[in-house]
Amino acid sequence: MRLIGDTNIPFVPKRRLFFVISGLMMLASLVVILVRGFNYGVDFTGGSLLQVHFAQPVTADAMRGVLDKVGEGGAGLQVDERGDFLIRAKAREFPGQQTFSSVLSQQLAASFPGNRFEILRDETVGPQISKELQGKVLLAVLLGLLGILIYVSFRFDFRFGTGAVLSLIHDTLITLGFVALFGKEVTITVIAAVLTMIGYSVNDSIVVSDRIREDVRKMRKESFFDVCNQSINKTLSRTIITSLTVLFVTLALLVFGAASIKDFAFVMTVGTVVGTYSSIFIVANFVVEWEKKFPSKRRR
Amino acid sequence: MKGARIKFAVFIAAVALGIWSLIPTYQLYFVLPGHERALNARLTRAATADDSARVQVEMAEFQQHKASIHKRSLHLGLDLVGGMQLTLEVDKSKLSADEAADAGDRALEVIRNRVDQFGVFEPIIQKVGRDRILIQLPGVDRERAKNLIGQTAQLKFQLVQEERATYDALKTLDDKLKAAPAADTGHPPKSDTAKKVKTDTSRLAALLDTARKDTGLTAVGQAEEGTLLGYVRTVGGDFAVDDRDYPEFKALLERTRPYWPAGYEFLFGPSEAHEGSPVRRLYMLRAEPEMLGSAIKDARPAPYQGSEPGLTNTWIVSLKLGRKDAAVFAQVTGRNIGRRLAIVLDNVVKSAPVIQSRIPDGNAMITTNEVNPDEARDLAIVLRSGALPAPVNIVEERSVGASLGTDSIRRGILACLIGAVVVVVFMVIYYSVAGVLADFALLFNLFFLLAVMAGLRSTMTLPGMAALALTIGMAVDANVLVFERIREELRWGKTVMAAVDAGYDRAFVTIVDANATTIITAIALYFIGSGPIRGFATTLTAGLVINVITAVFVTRFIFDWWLARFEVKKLRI
Repeated sequence: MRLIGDTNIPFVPKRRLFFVISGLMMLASLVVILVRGFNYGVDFTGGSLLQVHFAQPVTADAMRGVLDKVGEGGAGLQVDERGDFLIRAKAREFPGQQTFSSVLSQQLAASFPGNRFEILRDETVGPQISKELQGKVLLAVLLGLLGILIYVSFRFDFRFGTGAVLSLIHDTLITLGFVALFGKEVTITVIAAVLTMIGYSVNDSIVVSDRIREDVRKMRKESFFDVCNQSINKTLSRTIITSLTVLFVTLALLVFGAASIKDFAFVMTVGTVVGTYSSIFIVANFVVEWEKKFPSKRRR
Repeated sequence: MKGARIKFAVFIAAVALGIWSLIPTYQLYFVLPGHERALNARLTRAATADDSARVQVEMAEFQQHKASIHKRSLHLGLDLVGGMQLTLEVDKSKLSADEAADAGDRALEVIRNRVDQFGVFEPIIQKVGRDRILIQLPGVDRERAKNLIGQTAQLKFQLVQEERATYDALKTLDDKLKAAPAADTGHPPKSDTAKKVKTDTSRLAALLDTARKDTGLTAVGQAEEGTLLGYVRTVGGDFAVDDRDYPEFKALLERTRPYWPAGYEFLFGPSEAHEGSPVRRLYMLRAEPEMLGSAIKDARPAPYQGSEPGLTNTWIVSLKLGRKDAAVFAQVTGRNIGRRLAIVLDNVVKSAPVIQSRIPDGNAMITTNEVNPDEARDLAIVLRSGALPAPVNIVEERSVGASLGTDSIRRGILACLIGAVVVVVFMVIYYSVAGVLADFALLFNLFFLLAVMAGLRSTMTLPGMAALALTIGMAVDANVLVFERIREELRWGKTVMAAVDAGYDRAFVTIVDANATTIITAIALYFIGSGPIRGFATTLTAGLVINVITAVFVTRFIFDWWLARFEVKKLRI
């Protein structure tokens, strides 16, 4: 079976259109990020995230009342798909070995006698730790990017390398735009997804670039632009199929995975789609544009 | 085909190695839980003490066996089995430079002791940085464990000042407060303190009553704002404050600290219920302790055996002092018959019994007022393992309930299975026979991934399961690259053999390139170092490396073998 036969889609001739589309998407993402900002999780802000499960249902108002009593009236309260409460509170100091969860469970036991409850999840991050985590995450992202840069610059010439890196920025920005647009909580897991997405989306760019290099060597008679267009068309099938198999899995995670994995799957899904788009429409076209403006002296 | 034989042998050896590496994991999660249930059932059924003892011996052997298997298995992270991860920081602010130098190590030692005695299966306790301690405890009662780990456990025996003197001291302090009122003179008590005075007819109550009349407060239900005595009531012959007033009262008392009688300090008891409302007793103690907790040789939980009616059926911790310290204790008790000796744990007065007679044998006890033995048991552990050199603060806590962990595993496996089935079916439909081949490769991939992770004793976490799912999606990528290339080569009119050769050769570099970037990012993620993400990074890295190997060597080998064996002339791909 074949989904995509021999195509001859004018990717290169129509490149301006794709540049405009990408430019607009990036601009929109930037605006969304600046206007809405990110919804940072406790990993980065410090504070507590508690998930409380009751044997018998409790109304959100009653829960609010309890939070008021423990001096956390301003805490974020949310009911998840399982009917559990998600409570987000700012970092605060408690006397002795007490933490927000112990203070809350005492108050819950007093306020709802006879109703069994369990604190299913407690993520409490002190201000010092969250600051350190920010540093570590930033370091990991920088290390990851640097690693990719070094690898790409070793394996490709300067122009393709730059193209791959630009598409990487493109993919990241748009994915982050979606994260901000949908108000997804930015946790370490989400950052991991962004970084993985970056690593994976470079894959497709590499496949296309590899093919162009090979074809440029083989098809000496044709112009660089034709070669590029043909190479993109020739790799189109595999670019789409490989992304498709990953999408099958990320979609399965998105639908069936545990709550904290859903955000991860969301980022991977969006990132894979955007990454595939940019490998087909942007990377080679960027190199073509560069070649046109500043022709290289000798054909690669 | 001599080369093929060797390749085949290597492959079989790898599979055998993989199975061998997964055996302990299989035992741990699929065989041992059944054994454990059976043993537990036998223990509850045990008719005689002899039977019970025999089962308990078997139980101990079983636990040892389990521990040794656990060491060789794929571990599940706390986010999957449920449990608690704490990061503690040793508060060195009150230590001298000398004491601070090894405070972290000493705290680690003490906490390790406590956790060991608490009896948690396979805990992790390690120092992180200079004065942080990371603790991972699978499946425990969190509040209890936190209390056990975090107690500084500085035990002191201090003499209690007499009631009259305490009252006078408080009165003097009130005078000082009146002379120098601060901007904020405190709020009126929230409790109905004054009303309660009437119910207590002790000498102290009478004293307090007079005091209130002296200050011009006659009406019931009022207490003078901004005075200590305004908050104070009496509980069973002790001064006490209502728990709801405690923060304000404590702040007020703290303000008068410079005027406290020299050599004395004020401390509170734990919160306790008295006539339906929570109160804390207030004690004035001689600041110089008569004895320190380091004198304790042994501490054991025991049921209360004495005659005080409020304590029947409750648990105590019975303390045994060393020989030399017992002599000191005998002296102290002998000199102070009739006075009260407070037992102070972490600046909370646990109890303050009257010394009835000289205690020569070095036995003492701490009452818990609890019918449940847990507190007495934990306190005994804490006292036996010694005091922490300094208080520790919980700077990070991540806990997951066992039921949530089970739910995560269930949903993770479901997502992986559904993702895998869709991918497998798609590959067969899209590439027919070659697709089946890629699916075999996928199976081997998952098998080798789990085997390698078990072999490396790595930990499977929730993000790790996501990484597992991702490797399923990416595993077939390499084969897709190869198959697409073979299709192209076939279209160009190459023979089947030549097309397969060219397909693998051409795609190899691309496959390595493509996986390398993802591996680079996964390695970078490893450095964030938080447990779950580390699980993600190792799973993904291992998965991708194995992907490349199986895709390039294993499927190629099977492909070649299949083409040669059946002399395939026409390839449908």
